[in-house]
Amino acid sequence: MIQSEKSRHIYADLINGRIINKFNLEHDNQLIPNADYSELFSNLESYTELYRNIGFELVFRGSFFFIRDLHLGDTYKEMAIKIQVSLLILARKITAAGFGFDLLENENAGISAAQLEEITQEDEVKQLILAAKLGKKTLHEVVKDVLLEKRIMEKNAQQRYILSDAGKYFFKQLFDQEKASSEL
Amino acid sequence: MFASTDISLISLIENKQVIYAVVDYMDNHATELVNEAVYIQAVRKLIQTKTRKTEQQRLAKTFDLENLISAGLVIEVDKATRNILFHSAVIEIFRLFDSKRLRELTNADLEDLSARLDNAREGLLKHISGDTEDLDEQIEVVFLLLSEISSRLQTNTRSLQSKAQNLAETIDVGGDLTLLEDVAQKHRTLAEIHKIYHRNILPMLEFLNEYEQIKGLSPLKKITAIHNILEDFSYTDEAYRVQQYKISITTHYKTIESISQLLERYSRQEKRYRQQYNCIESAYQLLMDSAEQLSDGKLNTQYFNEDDPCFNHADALYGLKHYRAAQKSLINWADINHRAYLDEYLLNAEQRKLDENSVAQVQSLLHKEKQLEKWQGQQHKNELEKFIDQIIITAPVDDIYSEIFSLLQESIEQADLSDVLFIAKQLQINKQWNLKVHFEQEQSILVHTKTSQKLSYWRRELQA
Repeated sequence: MIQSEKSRHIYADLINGRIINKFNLEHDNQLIPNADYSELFSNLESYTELYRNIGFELVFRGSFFFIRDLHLGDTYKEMAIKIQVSLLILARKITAAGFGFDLLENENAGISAAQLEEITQEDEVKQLILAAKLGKKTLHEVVKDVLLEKRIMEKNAQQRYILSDAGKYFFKQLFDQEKASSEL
Repeated sequence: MFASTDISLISLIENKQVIYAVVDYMDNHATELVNEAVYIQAVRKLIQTKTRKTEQQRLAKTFDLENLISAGLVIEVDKATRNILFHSAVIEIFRLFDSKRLRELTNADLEDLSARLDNAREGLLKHISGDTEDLDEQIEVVFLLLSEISSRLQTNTRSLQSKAQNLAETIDVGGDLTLLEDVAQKHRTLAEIHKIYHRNILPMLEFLNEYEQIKGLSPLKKITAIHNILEDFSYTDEAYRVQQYKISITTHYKTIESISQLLERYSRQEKRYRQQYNCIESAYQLLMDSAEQLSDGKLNTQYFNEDDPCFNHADALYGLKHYRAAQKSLINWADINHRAYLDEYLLNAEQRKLDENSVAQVQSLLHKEKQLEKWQGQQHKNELEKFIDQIIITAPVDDIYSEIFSLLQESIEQADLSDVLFIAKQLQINKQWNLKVHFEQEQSILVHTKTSQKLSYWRRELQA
């Protein structure tokens, strides 16, 4: 059964375009099950119905939830593109620098603000950010304003940025697609 | 005057690091020849560790190449290339001292052993019904070969086992993912594992598998054939000995298989890293291609085409909305980790409602300006830092928050409950504590008697 207080809390997040992940990062870098996710998962049908009645589709991707406009559906891509561009810049720059991709996945590791500022200095990065309609923001600003705000990334106790469940899902999908296409 | 062979050899053994450096150079460069500079550097390093001048002089004399040549421990020093060729027996002795430095059998070595088994079998077949003296000689050749195979496989198995365990431990210990040097070291170790797996383990498994075809019969089948020949011609004792050698050789299979399974895991990890790297690289290149097509490089007014296939990777997030400013919360987030405090606050929301006397007690520092000022006040901060430096807590501790709180109350009069969270966090980072959160029926509660603050939390256990 839907719990009113949790439902209001969930609504406040979803309507603001935030993602609800399966796990949250605690201040001691422990991954703790997210109570909002559990609430949505336990009452999936009820919430799906609830959001459909107010004009939204509740999208469930296994490890996270978000809502999208029923009429626009998946035709609205602007935010997804901003996220993809930002994530690919991050991943490419850290792997090209010699770090492993697990720097972004491991809750005790993460990319620092200084590293983000350093990456932003590259003209190529500035151009990609501009083309993704992210204006003249630095990569650090993009991470804070978009990825952190949308909960694609999280900040750990060492003040470094790591991928949330939704961020990990993006890369899993990317790796799986590449693997499938290389096997063809 | 030169030192005798035994004195020189004892000196080398007493100072193993010099020949170890030589062996490492040989293995790293896959050569039998050692550059003179490498040897001299190792000797100088050794001499520098000695304080007594007489000892330094003695070592310089013993390790002098002319002396080692005279003692027969070095075969020659090539005057043109300045390469040294050590006596193979010397190198093999030092390999035996350290299992990590034992030489592994390569595919070529194993193929050579297999070919020699063929020759031995053919020789035996040729002489089995002929002259007894020739046959005895041939049987001796067979046993010498079997003994050599058994001994080399045993040494090889020991070496691989030791090397595999060392490399696996290096990976498992991990290192800091945020330090480039640690990451590079991990990749080097994974590459080494990959090399050993393909160069040494797979050929060994092939060699020890009876059903494997290596240029005709498998080595084990060749041994069986030798056994059968001896048995057919009633040399039952010899046939029995051959059978015993075969059993001794096959016992290595299980060990090699378990090493193989261990290394396979890391080999896959290395493959996964490469795949991830390639995948990110190719997706990024597609993105760059798409950007370059926008215009002549000036992107000021040009944006990505949403229907470009390179954006298919983000389809899981299609439809995700923009942030709505009208709905934005008015909380002014300061630059600290608010989620931690908010989560604690939310966890206690229900309980606070039930308890009429309690005020929102885990004072999230966001809402209590005074407390935030106090927390940030330099004096209090200094006190907390001093406390963190001096505190001694030994694992295991059942409830770390309670433990810190009781110690804190004894040390700092002005301390409050939010300091407990701060200290716990700092200590966990500084001392790499392993904390386990217990989601029990009820949350634990700490009460500050002076301020009547309450902190409800899930118990955190400090594990050893």
